[in-house]
Amino acid sequence: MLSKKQKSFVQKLFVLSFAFALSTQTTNAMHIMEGFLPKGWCISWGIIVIPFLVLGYFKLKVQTKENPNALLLFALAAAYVFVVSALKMPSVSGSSSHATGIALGAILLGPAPMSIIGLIVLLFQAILLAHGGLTTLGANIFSMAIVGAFVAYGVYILLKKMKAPGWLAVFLATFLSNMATYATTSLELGLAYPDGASGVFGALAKFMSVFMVSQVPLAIVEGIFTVIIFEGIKKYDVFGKKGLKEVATNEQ
Amino acid sequence: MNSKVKVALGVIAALIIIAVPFIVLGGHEFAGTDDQAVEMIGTLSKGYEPWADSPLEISDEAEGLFFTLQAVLGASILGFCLGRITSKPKLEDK
Repeated sequence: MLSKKQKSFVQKLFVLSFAFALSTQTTNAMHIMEGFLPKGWCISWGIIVIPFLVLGYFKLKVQTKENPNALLLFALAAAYVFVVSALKMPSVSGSSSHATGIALGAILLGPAPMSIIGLIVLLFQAILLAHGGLTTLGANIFSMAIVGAFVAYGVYILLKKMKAPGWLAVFLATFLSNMATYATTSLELGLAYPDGASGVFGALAKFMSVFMVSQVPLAIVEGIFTVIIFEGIKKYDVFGKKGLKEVATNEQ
Repeated sequence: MNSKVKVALGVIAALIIIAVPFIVLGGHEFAGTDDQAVEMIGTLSKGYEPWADSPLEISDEAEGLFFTLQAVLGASILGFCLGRITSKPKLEDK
């Protein structure tokens, strides 16, 4: 469990960051490339992700204290994101993109620690690969490691509650996590570049047409590999005293 | 169906999905969706100039090399972690 002090600190940080982020948007009502998001939006998304990063750090600290194998699972989840996001795959839509790899860790460790993994991977790609960017880091962490992680976790828990088979819950969680990531990227771009005629929604639809169709086959492929790894490790004693489901659902 | 057969079927299905675009579209050059998004930004906001550049200006070859390095680094750590996890006792054995 997070201590009362930590909980209250994180709560205050959430309120503050949203207030600051909104205040930078006075008049403007994959990964986004360096310099391709206006400054105000870069600052807003950068501020919004701060409390998630702090929460992720605290949760990871608690998990490593409670389960000696939590760090091993964290390393596994991070390595998976590293591999998956390095593999650009072609799609039948005629373009290429990559999957995110976030869902596996979100299911194994819960969604919060994935923000730290997102930060590590996206920083590496922004600095060394000229992929994504430092200025768009906040927006990219938000879409991939926060929305993607919470969607994966939410879908997995919901389907488990509905007594769906484990493999199906993991597959759909991964698939929808991918789609949600790119829908969020489209929204981030749509908000920043509203269409002259049809506004934010028109721009959102245009950006979704770029990202979403290409992503479908990649999300299916990632779903298959995530199921294989998940099914392979779930029977081993690495999830601490509370077990796998409880690790993921644990409200620390 | 035993689990090895299921894994094999899963991998085959994934490989087919990856191979289909190459077969259907032949020598087509697959542009990245990030580049297409940049084009879309150009359409929606005419004359937009990015206000920051990547800290490292790297060539396409170097970028390919770094992506491979990332995949190899990730795969090595992934393999190590999977090895560590599967060397632990199974839950039903306890």
